[in-house]
Amino acid sequence: MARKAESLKDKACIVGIGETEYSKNSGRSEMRLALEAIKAACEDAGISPKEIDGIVRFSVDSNQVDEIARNFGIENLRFFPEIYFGGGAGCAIVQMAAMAVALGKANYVASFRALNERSGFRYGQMSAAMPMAGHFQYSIPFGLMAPGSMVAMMAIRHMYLYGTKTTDFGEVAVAFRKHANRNPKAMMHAKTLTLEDHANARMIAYPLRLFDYCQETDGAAAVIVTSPERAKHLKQKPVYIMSAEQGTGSWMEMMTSYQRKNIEVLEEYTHIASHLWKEAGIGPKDIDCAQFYDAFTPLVIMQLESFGFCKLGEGGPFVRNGALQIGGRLPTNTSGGGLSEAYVHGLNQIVEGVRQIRGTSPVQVPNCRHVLVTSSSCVPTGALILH
Amino acid sequence: MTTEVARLEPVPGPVNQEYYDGLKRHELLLQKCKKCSKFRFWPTEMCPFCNSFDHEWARCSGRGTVHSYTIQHAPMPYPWPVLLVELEEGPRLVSHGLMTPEEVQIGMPVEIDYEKISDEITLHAFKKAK
Repeated sequence: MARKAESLKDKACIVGIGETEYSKNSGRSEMRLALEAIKAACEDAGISPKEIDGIVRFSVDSNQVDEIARNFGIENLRFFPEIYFGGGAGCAIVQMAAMAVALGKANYVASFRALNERSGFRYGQMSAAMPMAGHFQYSIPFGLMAPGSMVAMMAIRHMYLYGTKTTDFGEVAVAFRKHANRNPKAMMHAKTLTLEDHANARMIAYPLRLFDYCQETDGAAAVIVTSPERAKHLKQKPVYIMSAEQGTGSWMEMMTSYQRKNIEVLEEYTHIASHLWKEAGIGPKDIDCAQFYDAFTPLVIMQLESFGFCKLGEGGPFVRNGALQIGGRLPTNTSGGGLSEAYVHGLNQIVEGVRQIRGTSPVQVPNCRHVLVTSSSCVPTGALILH
Repeated sequence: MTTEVARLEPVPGPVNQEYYDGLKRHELLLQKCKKCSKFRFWPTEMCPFCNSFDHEWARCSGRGTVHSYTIQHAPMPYPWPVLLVELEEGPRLVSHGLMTPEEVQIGMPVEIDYEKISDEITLHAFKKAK
């Protein structure tokens, strides 16, 4: 029987947000961090944690859903999928939650990420810990030692083809740092950054220098998703999920999709964007504020192109003259992002997207109606539009 | 040539044993589809172009061009060029660049060399084409 195509648009909303502090050493377990963030999100929403009947986790998170449920004394979980691919999972775990509440498969779903990334396992040192049996055996043994180096390979190609400059990477770092300087929760709150500082920093993998790299963070963040009907009776103004989408693009291999025709194009987002704009019924011009996953600065420039904020190759010129800062063309990563607030696999950026729609960010964009949030580049990933 | 640096060592498996066996003999063998004749990398069970399971390990010319690169400043002995080489046969390989960082340029022709990193493993590296 033919069935009318459904859409996820506005069928679910984020009603609670919660975070721990962000630090280099939390001094407590990842389970404790997860519980603190989820509990805070429930308090923010005005529900008891015992009302949670769905939890969506990152596969790479160390905390299992049954143990979380046991800690909270939850009687029954009805929905508990997980998404793999590291930082690619952030928006997707919210998408899963939204689909579940839209279909009546759960009432209140918690989506979270908790990690002691700085005091525990550091991704920048992954080569030492990674068994060379998977696809990384074709890159790491040749000296491509860490995710930043893998992105450097794409950044150089972008520079070669389009004349993108390292000062453009600096513009990205400086814009987000300025936002962090106004956000008391940001790890880099007290540290200013200039284009000169960026240009003079230690080289790590040419063309990337120290401030092109994101933070390493201990911390956790969580959101609560429910249906619009339930949201009416809760504490906060609901933030609607206007659209949500996952994507891989062609020849996907985590961090090194080098067999693609154009390695300087984040093809995973190009595919996501076409579906995302269609479902939302809006376009790049309608976005008031973006929260781009920013593990490394060049990826922000490439995302501007993939999502259609500018043409291919024009990401460098786009970011010049403070375009990503408050008051600029597209205020981006208003809490400081992964580069200057915290690296919590992008959950902090979803939380900031919610704050922008509520109008409660310490770095608030005036009259913010539509926010784009993305998850990690170079891996199977996702994106959300919130309003 | 033998590399002086401790390199992380790949762990060969059933799908890529012949690739590593070839490198040990100083031959670059890549999978070539028996149905559509296309080369592919990295080693996979199936041809991503035509979905055939049938392939042979075919010897490549060892010639290509630098598609992109990066210069690793840590923790390898600095500075260490890493190349993305586009082979004449089509696939691209990440490899060690046997040249100074100043010499590396996108589009430059390169040819294969080999670095023995242990008794078990030899890897390819690329130098400027003659």
